[in-house]
Amino acid sequence: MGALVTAKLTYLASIESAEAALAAGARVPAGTGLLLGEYGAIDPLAVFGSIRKSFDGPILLEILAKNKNRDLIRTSLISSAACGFDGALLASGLFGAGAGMAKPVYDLDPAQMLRLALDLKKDGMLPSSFTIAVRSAAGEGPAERRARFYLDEGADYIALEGAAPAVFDRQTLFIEPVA
Amino acid sequence: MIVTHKKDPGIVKKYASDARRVIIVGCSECAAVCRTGGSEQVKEMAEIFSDREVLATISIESPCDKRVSARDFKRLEEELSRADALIALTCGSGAQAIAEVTGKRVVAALDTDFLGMVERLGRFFERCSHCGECLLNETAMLCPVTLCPKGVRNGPCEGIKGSRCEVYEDRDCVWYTIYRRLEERGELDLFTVYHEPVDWSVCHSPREAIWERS
Repeated sequence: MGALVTAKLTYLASIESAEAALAAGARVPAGTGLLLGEYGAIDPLAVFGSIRKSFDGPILLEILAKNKNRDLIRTSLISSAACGFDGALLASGLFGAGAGMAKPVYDLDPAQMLRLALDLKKDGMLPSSFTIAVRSAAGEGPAERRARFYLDEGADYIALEGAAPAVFDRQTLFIEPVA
Repeated sequence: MIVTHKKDPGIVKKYASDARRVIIVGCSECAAVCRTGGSEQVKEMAEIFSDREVLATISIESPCDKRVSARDFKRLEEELSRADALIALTCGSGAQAIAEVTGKRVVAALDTDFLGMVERLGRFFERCSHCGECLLNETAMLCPVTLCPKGVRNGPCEGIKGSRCEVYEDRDCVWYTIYRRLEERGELDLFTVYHEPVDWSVCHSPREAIWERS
């Protein structure tokens, strides 16, 4: 299992410049991890090394299914571990509907991404210490049942923006977007 | 039913700009129901092409069926031999079948949208994406591949807000509805049955279904 020493993640959804990423990294409160998102112009892998120099807490990469097929998700998982990320947060990703939008991919859903990540871990393609979390929805009924499914399948954590159902407290990461 | 919409007539005429003699071809099945290729629309298209010689108009029952198209065009052999182009008020499959059957230049006058469920005339809804791996028996007869904008096969995704979809906030998330239906039926165990990723090795285009001869 990839255990983290924190339950909180400061979330930088998009990286538009290396300088902004470094500045955000420097502002992460003590005892909090950093979650780098893929919504910006710059791939988090490109700035990881710089951020690591000034931030020694856990750094996770949010890997989105919206713009990748299964081959690229696999590449992202292995590359993030190779770069030094402490783990990955698997998410479907915001569906941006609008004029001139790119073709959404969603080749895998988060449950399928999770199986892929766990298989890579089992096969030694990801280190055993690599944390695998899945972004979940807060709420009862279908959201709670799906979150339980992720944990039963083998996810280290579910991650939420908002309040977690008490039953998941010990295996929940709380995401706090950078203002 | 195949749902279609009309192309801009100006664009249709542009693609037929050098055709002096044309035949207008309608579809009396799907396109007729959509009011894009029925007899009224065939008449309208003939009007649009009134500056050319319209040799014939024809409504074919299923122009996508090459057997039917071949049979019906036999009645127009003479006109067909003189035509510079056929204007097809049919789905894309129909237009291509007509081109294959006649060997003539065909101009598509419609855009093909989706395989639609008809609620009533003028209200068509996409319910099936013909993915080739049907989940309906495990999802309370609601197709998440089609009804979820992300096509999530193991949902809901993280974007569900209460009961609402992240993308269409005025609609319930299909996985919420699936959950409720399964709960009512006492079949909630089906909710977390894992659905494998689509096997694209067997469902990429162009697909074919060819019966073995017995």
